Amino acid sequence: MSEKFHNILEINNIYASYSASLHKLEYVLKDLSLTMKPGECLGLVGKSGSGKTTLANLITGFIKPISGKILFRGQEVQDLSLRQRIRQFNCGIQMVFQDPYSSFNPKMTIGKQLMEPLLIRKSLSESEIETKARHMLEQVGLSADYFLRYPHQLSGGQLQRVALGCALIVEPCLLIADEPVSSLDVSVQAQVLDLIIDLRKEFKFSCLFISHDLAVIYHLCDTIAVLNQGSIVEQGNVEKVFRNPQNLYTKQLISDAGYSFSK
Amino acid sequence: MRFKRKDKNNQISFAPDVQRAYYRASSINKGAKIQFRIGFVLLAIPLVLFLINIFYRPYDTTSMNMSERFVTPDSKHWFGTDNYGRDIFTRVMSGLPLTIIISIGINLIGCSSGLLIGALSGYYGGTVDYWGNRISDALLSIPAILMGMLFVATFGNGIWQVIVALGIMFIPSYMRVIRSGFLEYRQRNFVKRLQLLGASSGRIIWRHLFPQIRTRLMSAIALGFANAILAESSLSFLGLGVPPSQITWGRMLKDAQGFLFQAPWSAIAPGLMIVTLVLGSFFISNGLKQISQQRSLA
Repeated sequence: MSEKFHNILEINNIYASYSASLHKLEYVLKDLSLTMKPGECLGLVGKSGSGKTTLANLITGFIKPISGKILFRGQEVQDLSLRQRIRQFNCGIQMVFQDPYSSFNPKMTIGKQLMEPLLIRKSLSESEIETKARHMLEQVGLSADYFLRYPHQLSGGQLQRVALGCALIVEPCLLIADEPVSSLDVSVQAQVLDLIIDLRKEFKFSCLFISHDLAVIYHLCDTIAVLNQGSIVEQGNVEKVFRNPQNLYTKQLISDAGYSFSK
Repeated sequence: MRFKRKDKNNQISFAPDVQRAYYRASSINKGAKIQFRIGFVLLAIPLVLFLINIFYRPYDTTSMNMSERFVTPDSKHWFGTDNYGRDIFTRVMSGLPLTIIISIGINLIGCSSGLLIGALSGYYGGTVDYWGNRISDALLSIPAILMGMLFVATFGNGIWQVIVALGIMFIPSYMRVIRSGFLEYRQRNFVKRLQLLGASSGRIIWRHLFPQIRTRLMSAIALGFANAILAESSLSFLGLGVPPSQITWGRMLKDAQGFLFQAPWSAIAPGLMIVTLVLGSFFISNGLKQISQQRSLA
C-alpha cells in the first residue's frame, strides 16, 4: 500500500441523503469538502441536525455518498463497502460513540470486550491478546479489577475510557469521536478529554472530534471545521477561528456559547 | 442515594437513568418469582406421575378387561376405567413421555427454523427481512388443522407426521420473537463498533446478539411447549394425531369423546393433566417474560 499522502482524510464535494427516492432528494450534506492532516485533531462543530454524525458514518463507510470523493490515506474509498475498507486498511478507522451504555455488549465482561477486537483479527495468541487487553485497561486509567466487571457495573466516564481502549487496541490511524463526552458530567468530561490528549501523544492517531460544545473543541483540537446545514462554512486553526471568525454563522456560534477562550 | 457511586478518582456521581433502570431491572421482582414457583409445582405433578410409572405400573396400559368397563374412580382404579376396562390412572401416567416427545419435536423444528429466519431477517433487514416476513405470513395463513390434515392425507397417521406438520406451523411465532429482538439490538452502538472492527455477521449474530435475546427465547419456548401440547391434543381429538396404539393425553380425550356423559372421568383425568402442564409452562413463560422485559429496560 502506498504511504505517500499529504492528508490522512480528504473529502471533496460530497453529497449525502437519507431519502429513499432519487426524485425527491433532501440533502443532509451538500457540497461538503474537508481535509485532515496526519496526526491532526480536527474538531467538527455544528448544531443538532447539521450533519455531523452523517459525516462520521460516511467516513467510516456505514452509508455511501450520492456523489463526491472521499480519500483515506490517499485512496478513494467512497465506493468501497465497510468490509472492503476494513480489508484494505486493516481497522484504519475506529469510532467512539456518544452513548457509552449502548457501546458495549451488556452480557460480556469488559475484559472480553477489550480482547474482542484482537480476537476478530486473529493475529495474536489468546494469552498475548489477554496481556495486551490488560495493558490497554491500564493505559486508559482503569485498574485490573475492571477486567472481570460487566458494563452495568461501570460509570459513564469509565465506560467511555474502555470504549477508547477498545478503539485504540487495534492501533487505528484515524479515530472518530462522536460527541464522546456530551453525556458525561463536567468533571468526568475533563478526565476523558485529558485521557484523549494523553493517548494521542502515545498512539499518534489522527482524531476527528465531533461536538457541539465549543469549549471542548477549544480544549482538545488543533483545527476546527464548522458545519452548518450540511456544508463546512469555515475551517482553520482553532486559535485563529475562535479569535477571528470569518463566517457569520461561526461568529454567532461563538457568541452564543458565551465563553472567553484562552489556551 | 442508592444510586450514588464513586468513580476511580473517588468523585461521587449519580448513575444516569439508564443505569438506574438496570439496577431496578436486574433484581427479579416478587411477581416473577411467584410465577416461577407456581409453574414448577404444576409441572412437577405430571413429572412425579411419570417417575412413579417407571417403577410402578398397577395395570397394563393396553390389555382390555370388559368386566370392568366404565368403573367409577375408587380405591382400586383411582381415575376409573374407560370403555375397554383399561385403568385410566395407568394410561395417564404412561401418556406423558409421548406428549413430551411430540412437544419437544414440534418446538425443536419451530425454534431452530424460526431462529434462523428471524435472526437473518432482524440482522440484515431490507430484502432479507422482506422475504423472511413473507415466509412467516404464508405460514400464518395456513390453519394448523389444515396442515395436519394435509400431512395425514399424504403420509398417514404417525408421530413424525404430527411433529413435522405442527413444527412448521410454529415457525412464525418463534421467527417474530427472534426478529424483534435482533431488530432492537442491531441498532445498538456495540454492533456498529464490531462491524467497524471487521467482525463477521455470524460472529455478531451468534456471539453478541443471540445472548441478548436468550431470556426472551426461553420464555417463547416455554409458551411454545404449552401450545404444542394443546395443538397435539386438538389434532388427536380430531383423529389426525398419533395412531390409536400410542397413548397421548390428546388421544385419550378423543377416545373419551363418545361416552363423555356416561363416563366423564375418562375425559377429566387426561384433560386435567393437559391443563396442569399447559398452565405450568405458561407460568414459567410469563416469569421469564417479566425478567426479559425488565432487562430490556436497561
